Amino acid sequence: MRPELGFFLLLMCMVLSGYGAFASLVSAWTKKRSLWLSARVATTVSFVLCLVSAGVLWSGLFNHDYSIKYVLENSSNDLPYLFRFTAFWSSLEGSHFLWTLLMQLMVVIGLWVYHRNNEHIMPHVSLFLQSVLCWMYWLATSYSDPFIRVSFPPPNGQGMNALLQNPYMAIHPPLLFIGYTCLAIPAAYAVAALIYGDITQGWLKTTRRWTLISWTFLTAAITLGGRWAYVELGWAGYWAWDPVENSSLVPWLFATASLHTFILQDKMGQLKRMGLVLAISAFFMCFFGTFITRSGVISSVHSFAQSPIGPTYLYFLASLFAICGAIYLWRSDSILPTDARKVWGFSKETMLLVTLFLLFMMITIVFLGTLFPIITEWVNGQKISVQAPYYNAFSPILGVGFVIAIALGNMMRFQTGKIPKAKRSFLIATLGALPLSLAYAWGGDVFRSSGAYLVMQLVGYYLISWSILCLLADLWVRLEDLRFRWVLLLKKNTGYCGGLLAHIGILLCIAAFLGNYRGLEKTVTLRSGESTDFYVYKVDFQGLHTKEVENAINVEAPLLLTKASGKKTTVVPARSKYPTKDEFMHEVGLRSGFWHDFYAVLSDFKKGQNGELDRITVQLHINPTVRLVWYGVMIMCLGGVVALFDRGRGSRSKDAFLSS
Amino acid sequence: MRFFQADCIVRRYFFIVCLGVFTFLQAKTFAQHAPGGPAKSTEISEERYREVAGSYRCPTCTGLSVLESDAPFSVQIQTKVRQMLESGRSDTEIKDFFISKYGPWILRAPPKEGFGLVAWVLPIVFLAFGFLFLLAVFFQKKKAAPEMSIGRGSSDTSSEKLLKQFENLVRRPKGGQ
Repeated sequence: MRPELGFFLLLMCMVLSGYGAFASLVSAWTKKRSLWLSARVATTVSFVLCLVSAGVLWSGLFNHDYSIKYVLENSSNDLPYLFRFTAFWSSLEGSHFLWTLLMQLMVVIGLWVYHRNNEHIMPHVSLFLQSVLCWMYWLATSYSDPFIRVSFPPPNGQGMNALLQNPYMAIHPPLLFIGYTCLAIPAAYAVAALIYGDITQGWLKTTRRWTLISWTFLTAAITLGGRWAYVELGWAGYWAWDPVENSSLVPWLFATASLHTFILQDKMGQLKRMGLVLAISAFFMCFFGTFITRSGVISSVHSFAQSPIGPTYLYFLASLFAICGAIYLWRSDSILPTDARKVWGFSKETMLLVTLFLLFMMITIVFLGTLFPIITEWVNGQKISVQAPYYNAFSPILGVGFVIAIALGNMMRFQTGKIPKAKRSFLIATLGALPLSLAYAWGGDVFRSSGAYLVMQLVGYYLISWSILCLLADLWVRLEDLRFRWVLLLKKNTGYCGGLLAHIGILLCIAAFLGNYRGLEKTVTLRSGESTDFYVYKVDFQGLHTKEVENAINVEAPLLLTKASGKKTTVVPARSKYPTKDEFMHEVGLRSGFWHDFYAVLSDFKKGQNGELDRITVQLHINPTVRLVWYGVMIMCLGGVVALFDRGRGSRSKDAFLSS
Repeated sequence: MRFFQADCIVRRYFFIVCLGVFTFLQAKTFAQHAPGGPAKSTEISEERYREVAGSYRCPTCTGLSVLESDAPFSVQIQTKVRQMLESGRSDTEIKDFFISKYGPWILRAPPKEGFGLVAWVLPIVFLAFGFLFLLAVFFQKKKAAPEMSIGRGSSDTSSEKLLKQFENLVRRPKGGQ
């Protein structure tokens, strides 16, 4: 009953979206408002049906209905409640369904909530959104169908992949998909503006808001994915430049570039077409990333065996690219900058160009690195690997570029490029950065490194401290202008406050990333009662325990850590055996401090028999400043949220022809 | 500060110095990846071993080096690398050995020869062109009478500009209300 009901509902949604797209098209062509209103009703009904269909799948998961193939493959009778909920998105069909559901939600919101000045482009917006939605529903009822029936349901399911039974992995896909789907509205508005022939009065405000929401969610989602990799995969890192990681990073980079372009568009009426291209590209890249990883074109920790969605995804992407490209080429000359003879010169606008350039460089490197293995194989049949060393070769120069550009860009003013109170600001920054960076280097034990790595880190910390002080000095100047009425600054220039937080956040993250250059590692074999010295800790192993948790058996090896000061902590690296899988998964033994994490992985264990002692092999790691990454990202997300509250941004049209 | 009100010549030199710094930094990051190492000796430091072994990928994992994995295949490669280093082989010889056994796939970055060079050269080319383009934009001369047409249209009343404005008004119908 459930499979048929769920499938039928999705089929209805596809039909409704198809109708909605068609009605919007006719409405845009004939300028009949009633048709677009009907299309809006269609998508609202579609949302309700999609929600019910999702409810059917969830009910199947909670009630162990193994007549649904998806439930059979992704859950089992002993699965904890939280993971029965998250099993919805644990593999391909379900995660596409979640994406479709969230896209449908965003479309409904986007079509009901809009600036009244944009009424006349809504049919175009609806056309774009509902076409994409129709394709997604089609995929959900054909190649990526979660409602396939199993003829003879067995008594127990195949269980969820043990790696996914972790709260970070539970929340990562929904947040990521919210980020992706929120990018659909700016893309739709961009295409609508092109077809209509102008950027309308309320366009920028709406587009900026949606992009900002998406950016915040993407920042959180990408970081949670990194956090999951850190605690679950056991290789002591949080970012491996894996194709799937890269393909979530590229939309984030495009969204960041969009936001900076919108500033230019808002203040100077420039780079409108760049804004359109970036909005469409960001949305396009969400699907492109999914295509290269889910189709099996590139192997990655996320990829499944050659899945049938590859070719259809390719056709969709090619069509999207061709259609949007054609519309742009045909209509872009009707979108004009406010001042076609603008001289950029030495100004904040040019610094924003520098920012865009750096972001494009980053996109190029990530994109090129991810696709290069396929390109090489296609060109000369050779198989190659592109991993961290390639990206790390270019990161330092981009990092330096970003750090300096953030400082100078925020300080310079529009049009003149003047830096108010420059002497004082630079004095504070240049001199103040010295003690700050040295204090940081001392606290973080940076002088343990040597040679090129030491120089790189010291220069890095100095530049980052300099940059943060430049930002704070600029804040001081602005507060001085307001006679230190900081509430006024918050109220009148909320966008600036959000931006300040976001920039400080990313600078802290860059500082935290530099910690990777002075990590420590030691592999050691210990018997019960033996101990070893590692960094500032004395590590004691007392013996193995076995423990039963909800649906697994854990073999734990508690390690007692003693510092020179006498302070003791225990970390418990473990291996877990789930009944439905053959391998032992890792549970990392983690003690997080501000300056470093102590990270222990149980590589091998042997329970002592016949009076023999237990024996373990552990990999011990010291990972510097990992916690700072999480703090930096939290500050960035806070900045994104604060910036959302800016009422004024984007609402003052700088367009010479429409300001009336 | 005088600098920002100084004339072009001073700012030009400042940016040339910046260009020099960037080039130096690039060269530095590439120097770290140059083949060859310290003088041959059978006593190898842990750091040297980690640097050499870390440039080979774990064949059975995704995204990790042999050092970061405890899979049997990786451990085999770790031992082989240590052995070869201790018997005095150079980094290039070790690299050639592994490439002959597994192909260039065993390396963690595209080889700096043949088609692989594209992956290294392209970003540098973009970086260089972008930098030059931005320099040109920075030094764009401001016109004698600065045009500020934010708001109500520009002060210039040349016929072409008026014509363009008119054309655009005709092409784009006022919308909505």
